[in-house]
Amino acid sequence: MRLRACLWFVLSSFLSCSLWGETRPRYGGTLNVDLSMTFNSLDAEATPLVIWHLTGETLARMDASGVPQPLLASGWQREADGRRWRVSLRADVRFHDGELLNSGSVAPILLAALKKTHGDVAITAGGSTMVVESASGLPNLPAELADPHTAIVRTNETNSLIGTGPFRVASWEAGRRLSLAAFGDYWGGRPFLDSLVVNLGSVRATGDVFDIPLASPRRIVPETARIWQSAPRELLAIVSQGARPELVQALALAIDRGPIVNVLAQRKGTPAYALLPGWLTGYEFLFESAPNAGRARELVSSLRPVAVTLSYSPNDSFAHAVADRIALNARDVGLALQISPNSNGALRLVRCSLATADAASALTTAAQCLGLEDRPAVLDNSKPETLYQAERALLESNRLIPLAHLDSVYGLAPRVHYRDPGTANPITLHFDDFWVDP
Amino acid sequence: MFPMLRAGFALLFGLGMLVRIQAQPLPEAVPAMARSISSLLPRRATVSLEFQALAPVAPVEWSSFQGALRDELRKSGVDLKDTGQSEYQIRIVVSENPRGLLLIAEVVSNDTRQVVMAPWGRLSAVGAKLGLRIQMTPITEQTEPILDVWMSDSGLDLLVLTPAKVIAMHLTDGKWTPNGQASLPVARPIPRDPRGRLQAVSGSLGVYLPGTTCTGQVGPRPIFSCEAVNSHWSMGTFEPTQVRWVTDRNVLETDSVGGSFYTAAMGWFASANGKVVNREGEVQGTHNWGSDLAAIANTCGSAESKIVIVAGAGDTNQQDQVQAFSPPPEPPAAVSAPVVLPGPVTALWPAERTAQATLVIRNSITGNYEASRLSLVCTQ
Repeated sequence: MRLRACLWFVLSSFLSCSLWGETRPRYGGTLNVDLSMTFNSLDAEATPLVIWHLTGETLARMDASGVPQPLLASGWQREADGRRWRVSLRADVRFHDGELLNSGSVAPILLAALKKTHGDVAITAGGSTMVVESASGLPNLPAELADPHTAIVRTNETNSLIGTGPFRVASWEAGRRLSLAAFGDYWGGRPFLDSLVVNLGSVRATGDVFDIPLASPRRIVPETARIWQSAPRELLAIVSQGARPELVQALALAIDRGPIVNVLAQRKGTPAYALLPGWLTGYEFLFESAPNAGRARELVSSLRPVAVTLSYSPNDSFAHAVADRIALNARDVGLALQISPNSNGALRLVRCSLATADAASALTTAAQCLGLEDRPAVLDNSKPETLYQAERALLESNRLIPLAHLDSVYGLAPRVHYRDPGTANPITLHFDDFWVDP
Repeated sequence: MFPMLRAGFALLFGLGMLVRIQAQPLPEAVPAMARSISSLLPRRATVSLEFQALAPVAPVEWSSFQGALRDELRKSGVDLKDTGQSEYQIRIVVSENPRGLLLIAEVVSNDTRQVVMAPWGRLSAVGAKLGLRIQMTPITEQTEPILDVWMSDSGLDLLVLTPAKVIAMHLTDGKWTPNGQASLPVARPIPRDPRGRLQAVSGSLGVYLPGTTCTGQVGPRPIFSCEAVNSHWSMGTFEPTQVRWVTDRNVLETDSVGGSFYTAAMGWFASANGKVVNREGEVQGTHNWGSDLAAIANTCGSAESKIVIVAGAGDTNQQDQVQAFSPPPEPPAAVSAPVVLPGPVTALWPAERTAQATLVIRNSITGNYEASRLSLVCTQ
């Protein structure tokens, strides 16, 4: 009886004390975002996705399962064994300058983007439909249409970005400040916020939202701030630029990933044993291995003593700290490792963004970012073995050492609210779904 | 006390785990997995099996999978042995990725290591319904937002309002099946917190969306004509208020009260500033109320008795709740335990029947919009 009473007390306390629910969003106000990083262009390559997708949109988007879904497109049809695709466009979409989106406005933008990877691609436009063709095949066109590089954006006479996203660019001071205003005619509904101001290179944590970088300058996070942390979405790895495979293998056995993740990254990530994080593939554990200093020493002793340099980006203090730590691990097994803030070392410390739930696309991006020439060819998310085999081939080449998968972390002021899409592994924040108290 | 606390939290955790139930039972994956493993082994190979669960799977289901796999492998001629007595060591792991569960078999022999994988279904949710005094009767669910539903007097025809159309459904063999639909040529983009109301008034149907009003005829295959105006409509069965939407917003306004609001019930307004107010000011005791209120007849009280059903407040959009409160003019007092919902309330309207309210939630696991009817059950 006492047990029941206690149990009921626990349950009823939990039920009555928690505020379970969701207050409806309110319109109006400005969201101030402080970012420690800077960028000098508003194109998809330079701008972090968390900001870019507020203005620019693609024909497709990746859902939480990594499956392409229509966005500016309303659908697509695969024809001729994937060599031809019929893409229909969503009706009633307007660019920020008021122009209606149709195949005539989309085709030239898309063609220029696809030409970079498919030289023979051709697009026939007609009304709200386009036919995209390539004799060499476009097996993964829907996934390509979700890539920001194929975004349907253009620039006007003043070089300002014109997209179809929920916010339009109000003012832009390159590298310093970006002001966005709600786009009232946005096809998906006007954002709740009236405007959004992004301060770049900011060391303050006084905005409504601020990033918490792994590297210095460290922010002093206010006690009232809430912390938002993504799923691991950035790969930190060492890539060989001509170092002997045995040396890479010895170093891989010497490195202890624990302190890198727990101390240097302050547990904002997980140790990496593969290019893609476990939450994305489900198989990363197959590559897991513990440090083996004995075996590493054996390999080092069989090598002729050579001076090896590990280089890292000069502006990245986190990478510097990691390089220092790796040099210690290397020294423990008799390997002399010099660290250097340039890109000329035989070993290079690289950070690659994997901000997608599409494992196949993330693997291609990672291989590209790491500069691996033999990029994985046929990858199919519905056949995880193809991804596993491709990763295994890359890892067994002894040209790279995955170190950590890092999270992205933001602080949010108490007046900030947002609708969480409820995905188990969030990759990024969506400021267009934020609202603020007055 | 601490073991009790642990037991309590274990129970809560267990309730949470209920929502992670696999759509297809795991044992159904056995034949394909066994075939893949067998294809890597020579005939009459001696094999030891090791199982590991890296994803949340019900212990009974996992155990059943293990037994079935052993049986299937034996049938295909594999000789199962203990670890250390076999040529092949096989580790079977159930893991997960954004697409669902992933079964992995790692087959090791001497220096060779082969891996086979089998994706298995998609995680789906079974919403926990904790019916206490408020009874929740599910009607329909879909991926597209449900803004409101309207049911005919016979209870056999249903209209579902979505941001772009009205779907007609008919009850056949206890299931609602689509019977037709009518597009709504909306004048403005629907706000990103989509809201709308579907009302029948003397034989004709009114659809009220922010920036657009449509009218049509009641019937299984409705046709609507729309215009770019915010017409007035009647909010609430008891002490109704004439309200209209605000274009491009998720709020309402009325001539009788200043300011915009989300919903109103019996003179209480859930205002856009987050407070529940009446004509005199803020209603005390409503600080943790959400944005949605609906008054219904209290079938457990006197003939004139009513209650107000209130959605929860806060930012916790993984769950929400509805709870019944006593109506004005007295200060509100809870008259039911809260019913916990597996996702945020996206609509709460009085229904055509005075003793019911329409509830729509967005299930935080499946992402589906689920429409239900709320009514009261007398527990005393």
